[in-house]
Amino acid sequence: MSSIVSPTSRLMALVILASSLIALDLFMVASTGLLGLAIIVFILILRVYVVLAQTVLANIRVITSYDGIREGDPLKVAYTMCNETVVPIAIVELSLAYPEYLKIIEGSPGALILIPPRGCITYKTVFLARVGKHRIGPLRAVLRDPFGFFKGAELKLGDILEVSIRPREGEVLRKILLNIARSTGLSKARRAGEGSEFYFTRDYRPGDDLKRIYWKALAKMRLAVREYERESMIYTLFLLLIDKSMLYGPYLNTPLEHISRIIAIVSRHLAEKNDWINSIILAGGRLQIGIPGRGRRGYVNIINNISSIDYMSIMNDRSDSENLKALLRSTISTIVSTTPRSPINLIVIASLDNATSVASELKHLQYLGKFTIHMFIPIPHLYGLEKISPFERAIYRIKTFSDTSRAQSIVRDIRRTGIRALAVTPWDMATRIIARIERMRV
Amino acid sequence: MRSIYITVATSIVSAVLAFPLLAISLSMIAGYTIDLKDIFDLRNIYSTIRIASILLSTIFIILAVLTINSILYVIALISHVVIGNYEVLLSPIYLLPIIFYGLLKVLSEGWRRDQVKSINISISGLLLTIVSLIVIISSAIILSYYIGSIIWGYIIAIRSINIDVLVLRSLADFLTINPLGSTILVGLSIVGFYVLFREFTEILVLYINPSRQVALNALKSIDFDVPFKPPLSSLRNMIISLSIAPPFYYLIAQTLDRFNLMPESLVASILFKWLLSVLVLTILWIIVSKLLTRLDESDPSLLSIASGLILILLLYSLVYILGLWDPRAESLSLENADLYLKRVIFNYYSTLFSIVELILILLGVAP
Repeated sequence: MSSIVSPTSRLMALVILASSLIALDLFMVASTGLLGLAIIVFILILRVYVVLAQTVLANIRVITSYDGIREGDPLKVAYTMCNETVVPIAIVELSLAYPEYLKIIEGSPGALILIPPRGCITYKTVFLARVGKHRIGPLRAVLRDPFGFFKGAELKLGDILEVSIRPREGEVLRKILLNIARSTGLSKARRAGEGSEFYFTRDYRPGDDLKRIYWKALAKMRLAVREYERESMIYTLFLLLIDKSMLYGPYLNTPLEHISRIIAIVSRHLAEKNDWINSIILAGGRLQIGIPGRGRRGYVNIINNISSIDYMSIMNDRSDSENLKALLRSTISTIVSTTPRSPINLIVIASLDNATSVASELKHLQYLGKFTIHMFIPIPHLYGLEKISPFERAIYRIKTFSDTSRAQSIVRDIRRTGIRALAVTPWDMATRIIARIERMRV
Repeated sequence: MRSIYITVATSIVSAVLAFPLLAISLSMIAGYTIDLKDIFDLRNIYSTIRIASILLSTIFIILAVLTINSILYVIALISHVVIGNYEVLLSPIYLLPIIFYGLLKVLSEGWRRDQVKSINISISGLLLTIVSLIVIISSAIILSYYIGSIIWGYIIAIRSINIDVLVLRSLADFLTINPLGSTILVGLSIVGFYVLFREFTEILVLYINPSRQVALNALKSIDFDVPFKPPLSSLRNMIISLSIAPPFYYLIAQTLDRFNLMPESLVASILFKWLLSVLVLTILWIIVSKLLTRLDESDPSLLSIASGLILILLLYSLVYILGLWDPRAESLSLENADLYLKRVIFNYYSTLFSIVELILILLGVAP
């Protein structure tokens, strides 16, 4: 029973005072016994109030909500607590459980509140949203009486919010990609075939589909059929291998966040060309297999897969190189079994630490013939350099020259296995990926 | 992160609240002309204690203000009582800081820097909460005064009780007239009242407003390694202890008597015997409970075996000291053993029951 509320050290002061007052009276020094006893009764009444308020607080109605789904936007999290009884609840010390990698931009991670009788109070805090899946909440509440003599056991209020944040696509980067790509809209092969764009007319040949007869030409007594330009359709599969090293860097500019944005923008570009796209993400010892789709549907599936990347599982990942190899084998069998027979561009993005072991497992895929593997290795120490001046950037590059050389050497080793590997900087990653994909277009 | 404004504001308020007591202390210090020679002169010991108490009080007030600590403030108050300044305990101006220091501490520790931006509450809701809290606290103060006066009346009635029975009078006088005895009596009564009231109100509140989370918290706080205890095992242990307590009591009393450790005056010897009888029973109850725990709960700890050994060793030692048993003797005299045992048991229970009777009289249950 005593675990419902417990006395604090401040109560000791009152107990010492009350005892002294009673003792003084009993030793016939002063008539203070009644006051001492009244203080003890007051303590008891205060305790009854705290127990009552604690049970009311435990049964309180909590409505949780959040607003904001895109990276870089304010992510507003709100907990509305409604007290339906006539008992005022004071004072409640709130603290919000939230991942340490999320930054609060408005409000505080906790508060001291009073909950009115038959009324509501809203606690809200605003985070700067970053890509991936985050768990926020519940609210931890500790009740104290107004004078802090008693403290209730910690209560959990509200649910844990699972927030999925989508990557933000930079418009500037998108325009650059459009310039690099051969054309806007659907990609054309400059050859007649199946498609939706009109190419030319030709004379009817026996066996041609009647639906393709060009009726306007028939009016001029010419039997002709319409030819359409064959659409150049490719299948691109993004394989993203995330480890802890991708989480370090400036807020919103870590390798993971940057890569997410790149994949989002590239997949959007491919979706606009009506290509088949899909993604497989290996993060925190877990395999997230996306749903293949064409055009807009494929793009949405990729965005959903990226926004399901669980930061916490990556941070808590304890798997070693053997676990990684086992997961990679499982990934390869998934890729082989879920992809069509047509040629596939496999865009692999892996960290510098894992690149070699990833390449050694993936090289076997090349023997199947249908996969063209492009491996992109972001150089981690170059992330966040936009924030510093050009001079500082130059100095930093000199200092980290050995790291860059190491990356280059890893890339050379991987290339020997037949995989087209490339060490990329944050500035050229998107253009390099698009250039590679467009080159593969028939 | 804590708010610097709130920290500064609470520090200022705490200084304002402590100012009256600090002013008294400083005025008292100013009134003294301290001569170092007088301080170390034992003939002026009262003067030395007085000066030391005032200085101590001043230091504690300053520390209390700086740390917003109500315990330090209470120590400062009690230092004033030592020098005979009792009015500080009766005036609200000196007592209120003890309560408000708690509020200030809660605010200074719990208030976060940007929490105003995080909270959305209507003005009417906030006012309603503050007003209802003031009403609750005011009612609690008034109610506590009235309930306190009723209980204090009961305590005064207990202390003024007149017992005609000669055997009980010595203990009754100790508990009612002697300040130490009165403190024990009142302390036990208050603790008993507090525990009963606390348990009763908790059960009542949980019955009226049941909560799953509170119940789970209460259940989770229990140590799950505690083995199952058969019901009424405490009562069974008490009965066993009661049955074996008389010989032990008799042997201990005889041993103390042999070593001339028993008080010589009549009143003191009666009080001592009562104390001894309760003590023997309590210790035996603990030993028997530990011993039987091994059987009840299959507790493999050595404590239960050790308690059994202690019991046997104690019995052997007492009997040996009194010369009732000589290992070198060929046989033990059993002459009038039944009458001997009867007397021992009768003496012990009559002592024990007289205590029970006195408690019942003091509580007003028995005439």
